[in-house]
Amino acid sequence: MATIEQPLPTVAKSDSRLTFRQRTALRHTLIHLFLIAGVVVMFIPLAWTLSTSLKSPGEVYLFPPTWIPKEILWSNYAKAVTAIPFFRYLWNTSYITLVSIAGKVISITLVAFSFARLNWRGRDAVFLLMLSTMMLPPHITLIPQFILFKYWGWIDTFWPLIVPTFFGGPWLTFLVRQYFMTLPRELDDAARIDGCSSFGVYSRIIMPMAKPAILIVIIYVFNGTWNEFLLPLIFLHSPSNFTLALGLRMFQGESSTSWNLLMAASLLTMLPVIILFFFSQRHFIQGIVFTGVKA
Amino acid sequence: MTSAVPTVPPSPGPAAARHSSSRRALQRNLEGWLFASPWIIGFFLWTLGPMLASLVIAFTKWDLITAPTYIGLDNFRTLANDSLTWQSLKVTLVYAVTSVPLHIVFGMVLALMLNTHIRGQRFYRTAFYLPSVLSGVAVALLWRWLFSTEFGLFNVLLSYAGITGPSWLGDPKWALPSLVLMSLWGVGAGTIIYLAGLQGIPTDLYEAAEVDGANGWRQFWSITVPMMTPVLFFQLVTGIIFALQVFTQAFIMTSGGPNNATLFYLLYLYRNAFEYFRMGYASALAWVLFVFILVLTLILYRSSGYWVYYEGEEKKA
Amino acid sequence: MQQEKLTRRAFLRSSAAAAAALGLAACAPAQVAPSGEGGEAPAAEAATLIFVCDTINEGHVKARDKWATEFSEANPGIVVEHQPVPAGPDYTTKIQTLFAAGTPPDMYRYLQENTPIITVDAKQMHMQLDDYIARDSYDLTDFRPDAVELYRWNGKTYALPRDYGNQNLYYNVDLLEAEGLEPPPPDWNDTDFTFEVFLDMVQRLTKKEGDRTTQWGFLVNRGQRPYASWLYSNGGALVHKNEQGVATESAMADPATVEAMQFLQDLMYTHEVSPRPDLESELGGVELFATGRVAIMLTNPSDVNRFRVIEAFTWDVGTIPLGKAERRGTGGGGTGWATGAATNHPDEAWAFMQHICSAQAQLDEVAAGATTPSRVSVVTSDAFLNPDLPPAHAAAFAQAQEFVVRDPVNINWPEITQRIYNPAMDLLWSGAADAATVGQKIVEESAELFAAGMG
Repeated sequence: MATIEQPLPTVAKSDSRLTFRQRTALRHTLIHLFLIAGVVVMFIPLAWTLSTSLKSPGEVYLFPPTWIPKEILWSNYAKAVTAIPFFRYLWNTSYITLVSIAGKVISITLVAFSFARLNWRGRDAVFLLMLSTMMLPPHITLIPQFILFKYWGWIDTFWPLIVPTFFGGPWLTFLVRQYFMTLPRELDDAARIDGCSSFGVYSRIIMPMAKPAILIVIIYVFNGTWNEFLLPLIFLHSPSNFTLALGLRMFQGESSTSWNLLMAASLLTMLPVIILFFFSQRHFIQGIVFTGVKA
Repeated sequence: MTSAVPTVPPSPGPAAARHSSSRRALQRNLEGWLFASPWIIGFFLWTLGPMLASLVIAFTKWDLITAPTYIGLDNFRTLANDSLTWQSLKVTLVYAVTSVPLHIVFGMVLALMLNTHIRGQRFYRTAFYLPSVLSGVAVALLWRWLFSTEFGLFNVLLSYAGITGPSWLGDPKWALPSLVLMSLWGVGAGTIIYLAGLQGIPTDLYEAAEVDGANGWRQFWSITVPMMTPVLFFQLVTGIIFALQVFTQAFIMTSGGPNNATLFYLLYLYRNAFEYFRMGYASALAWVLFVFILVLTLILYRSSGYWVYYEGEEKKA
Repeated sequence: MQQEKLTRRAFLRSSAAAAAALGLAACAPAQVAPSGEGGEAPAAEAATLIFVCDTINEGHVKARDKWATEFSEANPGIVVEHQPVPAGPDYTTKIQTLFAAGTPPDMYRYLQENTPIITVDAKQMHMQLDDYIARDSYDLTDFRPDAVELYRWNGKTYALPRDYGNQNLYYNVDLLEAEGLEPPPPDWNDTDFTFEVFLDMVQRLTKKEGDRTTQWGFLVNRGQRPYASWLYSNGGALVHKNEQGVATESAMADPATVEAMQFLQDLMYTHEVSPRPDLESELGGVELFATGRVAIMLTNPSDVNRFRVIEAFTWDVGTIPLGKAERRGTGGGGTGWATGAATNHPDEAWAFMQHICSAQAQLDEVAAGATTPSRVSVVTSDAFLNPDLPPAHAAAFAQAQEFVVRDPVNINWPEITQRIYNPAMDLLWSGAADAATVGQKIVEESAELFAAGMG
């Protein structure tokens, strides 16, 4: 384990009479206190979602709200998954999400590699052009894009949701490019001397070292696609093609919302994202050792 | 392959490369374009067309139903004299100027804490990530309660301190700060980006600093911050781009009220496009915003040479 | 100018087509668009009707699924594809996109408060129904005449009424009885229940502990139709109309209007019998009522489902009090069923429209709740008035339909509401300005938009 201990500015001016061990203990205690306070704040919505998901429709509207429902209705979960074709939507969403992850990981790392590690004429201009596509509000291009996809016969298919994922995405490409930029250039040079092609540098040098960045792409694409609402709303028509994010909103009515069922279905929906995050983030503590290169 | 890397002798430097023939240069350019081609092809397939279409629409009067009519610069003239454009621009700028720095500072501090090797690290990280997986609509109801004047959590806590809390969402003075506060709750979402950046800092830098007797504070400013500048640059640029296009909170929570105190630029744009049948005007609004953000980004991009440090940057000979 | 129009349109088309050609070369999917989407429908195949509607609630989604299935089964050669869309602004986004792309739904729930009928007529958005109504001698007599009128403009009919809503007082019977108060009358022709009687009533229903109000007599509903109801019942109005029925200018500075607005503001700030806006917007009106913290509130019959979960007390409905007007008025309108003008299957759409406008279809919706049917036979049926369930005086809902003042008609009305009326009314509700000031502000600021939106 090559965990890197970052010094914290908040506690930097600790008493010099304390031993190193004591200083660390003090620092950790302070950090725990801060984090626990933060965790409480972060858990309020989750606790509230859970609590609401177990309430009767009448109790949902009690004010101030009760934290522990008077009568705990686990049956809300059964109702939630049967009120909408939950498993159908789950399948659709999983399919779109998995394909999107594959598409984005491949395309984004390739493009970011080009921007970060290759030298070519027009690179900076193309990079800025890519950034600029984030600057135009999506609502304005939505209708032309719909017309375009209509011409291709893509409306009410998954194509508009998955095909573009194989063609990069500005935000994550920028992110991965920044990450690639921090890797020492000597790595590439060394590999090239070893006879590696650019693709070899990408696949054998950069990608293995970019695990945290790739994980970020996976996490963001997973969460983003899983919860994406506007695009499925516009491009999908048939209920059999709906995604979970779209299906969840079916609980939200014109004048009334089945909050308890909405919350139950929301919890079930976000569970996979939380699990993925919980298990993947440990990779962010495994520091990558490439310090030897510079020596 | 990777294992062989450290044993390889130092690179001959770019000087040798410059002697290479123009064929090498051509190949290098070709490779660059080739690797970037997924995005470039996608751009031509479904981004450029709609973008150009919206640009053209900005010079027309288009109600979405009947054919657009060309009206030259009229939309832009109207826009300059529209009090709501200015109001929404003001609201959006105030939001961006307050929320972007707050997000960067809080995000960075949080990441540093979550990067310490403490017990329960995985749990903490997941907890802070939670807000970003909750759906916006479900959470809106909760926030309305948290902000409630009489029973809301904030005002209840303030009352223990003897302070009478404001009417958060109901008071035009407090509505926008409330939305900034609400956005800060999602600060943990960006933590993994900082964490990934922190992993990229070679440990030997700290070891060397330790030997030199630099304290934690100095190490932070002379190692951590410079090495994190690529991530900070990313967070700053994209933070500005997204903050200026903030939409959902006002859309769900406040509908732009009270008295237009939370009328974000994009909300006003959306209303023109989809509720007032003025797609032409909305497109003009969008392109004005586009140019504004582009100029800001270009300034930042140019400035990055002075303050962003890239370990892997090709050193100019 | 005509030339310009064509070139712009042509540009859109050709840029899309150029990109389309590129895309087809790259990665076009094998299947072809369904006939409803493609523009040119294959003649021999079954006609697919795209039926788009916002969710309303689960029961409504199921009811519409049922209509789609039974109609498709009864009419070989027609397939109805029902697409529920989340309610609210997302529905607007979806519908506008479909219209803009030239593929409007073959049937959809038309929200006239979002897209005034004058706009529909000016832009020829909907299929005209008059020829079909004449051809089939379609019987409109069961519908509320005003509700049918809502969708007619320039002598043409652009939709059939689905529902026709209005505003009534909902009151907590237990709290009123505890004070020995006579409840609001259910008869809309009553003349005794005046603003003064009402004020006295809500003052007696307001309870304080120190400076904290534990129970409010009334809740001012700040929605436009609810507050407009007070203006109408006092002889005021939202707008002035010309003989055609087009809103020409704001009526918010008229003395009767200002008086009613001031009455509402005074309920909050002078008499302190109604919670201020922040509390209501945070908690929601129904929630305050359901927890017994508010004794009386004004709202729509379609909220009944939400009230029926109340178990703690008995509640009932009655009329809004009468001010200086000769006759009560309630804000209202409703929604209709309409077919996009660009439909490829007008005959089939009309057949389907008849199906979903039938008394049976409206009864299906009644079973799902959250609707005020537009057919007299349905709104006065036992199914709707349901004697077994509260409110006891549900007949007030049906009678109120005769007192509805329809939403103003002006192309710019949605914008005028959002841009001028709502922010100015926020000043009234927050106590920042009095009614006269707010009314004057609205009249001045809205003049230009009213003039520009008269069609």
